[in-house]
Amino acid sequence: MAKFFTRPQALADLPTHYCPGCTHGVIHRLIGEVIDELNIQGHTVGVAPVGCAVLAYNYFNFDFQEAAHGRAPAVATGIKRVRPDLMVYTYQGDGDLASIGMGEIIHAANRGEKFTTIFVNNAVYGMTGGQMAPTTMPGLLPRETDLMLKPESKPISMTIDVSSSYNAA
Amino acid sequence: MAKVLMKGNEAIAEAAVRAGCLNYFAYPITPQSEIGEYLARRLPEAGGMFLQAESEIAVVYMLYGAAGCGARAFTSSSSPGISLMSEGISYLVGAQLPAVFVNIMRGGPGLGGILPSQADYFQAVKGVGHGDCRMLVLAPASVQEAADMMADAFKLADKYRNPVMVLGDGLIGQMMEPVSFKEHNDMTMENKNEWATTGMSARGGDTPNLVKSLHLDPAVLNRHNLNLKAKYERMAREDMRWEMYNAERDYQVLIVSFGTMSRVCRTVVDMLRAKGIETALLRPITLFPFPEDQIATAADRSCCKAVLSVEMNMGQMVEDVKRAVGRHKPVSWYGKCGGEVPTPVEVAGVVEKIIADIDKT
Repeated sequence: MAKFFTRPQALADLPTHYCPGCTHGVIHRLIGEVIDELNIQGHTVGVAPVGCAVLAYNYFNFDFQEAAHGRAPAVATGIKRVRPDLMVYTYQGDGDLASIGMGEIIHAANRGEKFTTIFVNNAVYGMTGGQMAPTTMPGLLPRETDLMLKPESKPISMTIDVSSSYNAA
Repeated sequence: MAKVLMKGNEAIAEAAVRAGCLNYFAYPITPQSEIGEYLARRLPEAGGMFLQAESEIAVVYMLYGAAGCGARAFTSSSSPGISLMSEGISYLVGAQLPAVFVNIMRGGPGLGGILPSQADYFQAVKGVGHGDCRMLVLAPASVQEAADMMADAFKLADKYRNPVMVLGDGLIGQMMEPVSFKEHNDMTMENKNEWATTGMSARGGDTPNLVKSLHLDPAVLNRHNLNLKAKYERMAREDMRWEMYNAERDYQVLIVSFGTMSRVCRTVVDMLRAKGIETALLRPITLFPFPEDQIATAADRSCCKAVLSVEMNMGQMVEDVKRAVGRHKPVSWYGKCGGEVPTPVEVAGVVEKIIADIDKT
């Protein structure tokens, strides 16, 4: 009997280390499905962030580089500039992209670098234990750090402002 | 090839291109900006890639991405810029990636100044980045050597899959000297398909390559660091460089000096010799690995009464010279740390005073 629902080839056949209820697994799967659909597994290079998804490369079946915290867009720039034939994407959380790495993502967008960024925003620093992120909404955390939050922060619209070619949320 | 008159910074840039490096990422900073200026024109002409990044922090990770693909790449900066890159240098060491850094040193700490200095000795040989992290360091003493060392640096970076630094100073970068460029036909990076993210299809296999420095298992990290240590030890066995001048004489003082300062000290040896005073110069050419045993042997000669480390900083290499010599011969430092280069007359006076003081006792 033909199978209609299988594991994408681009995904490794492994249980993940992510916590129950975490959506990294679903997002990994969606990336795997798209890479299969586009048939680009053999010339894709992913760039892993710092945070829980630093180990993302364990769950994908293609080349990966591990970046320092926030620096994935710079690493992706280096890869794409010397190997324009490769499909390059970064996978970054909100601490990584919207805090420590805001400079790198804005400037990569401003230069029009030809890579994709999957921005996974859970509005909190997950791996280190739930500290405030620039994307944390007031009232989300039962801590006095809430007082430091602005009502609205807009990392994606900031990259739109500097002319990245495509944004989706 | 015929010699041409070139500024050190431009010679470094041209030498990199001739060594087959077609990828350069950098951020402008005095006194080395001519490297980027030159390559902005030269690299597109040679079919290469020039990118001026938003910061030195971005530069070092662009270099990481490029090197992680097995591409030959380099950057250049000056002291404060190298500080910003130091985190990324540690990641390059951890991920075992080949890349070349040129540091045309200026004074510090902080913004310091923009004149020649050798004040990044500690940073280059001891504190290049966090963790068990070391880097091979070449110190040129002329524009010709700086040019020649670029090809050497790429070869050594490939050999060890480790960053290599060419450590010059503002004088090397800014002065003009005659230079000839060698042709290199042996600059292919071997075995990159074994480790670089070149794309699985390009390698004709289905095993992903992974560029990373994270090892959460303590036993695995221990093994990884011991492997790195073995590389550093191999550098000392196979690629340590130094030279001696006037060593065949019965020298009273051994001068230890590197880079620009060693050229001044060579003149000092000649000047003193003309006055009937024999001294010798030991010049470390690699600062890491450091020619410790060679310094110890040269200082142990019975004719040698004292050792003097001459540096354009507040006295940094002198600590390593003291460690090499031990306590049985006096070791002292002389230098300037504001951007001035000590003159031969000045250094010769210091050497004569050392001899006079010892003769008095």
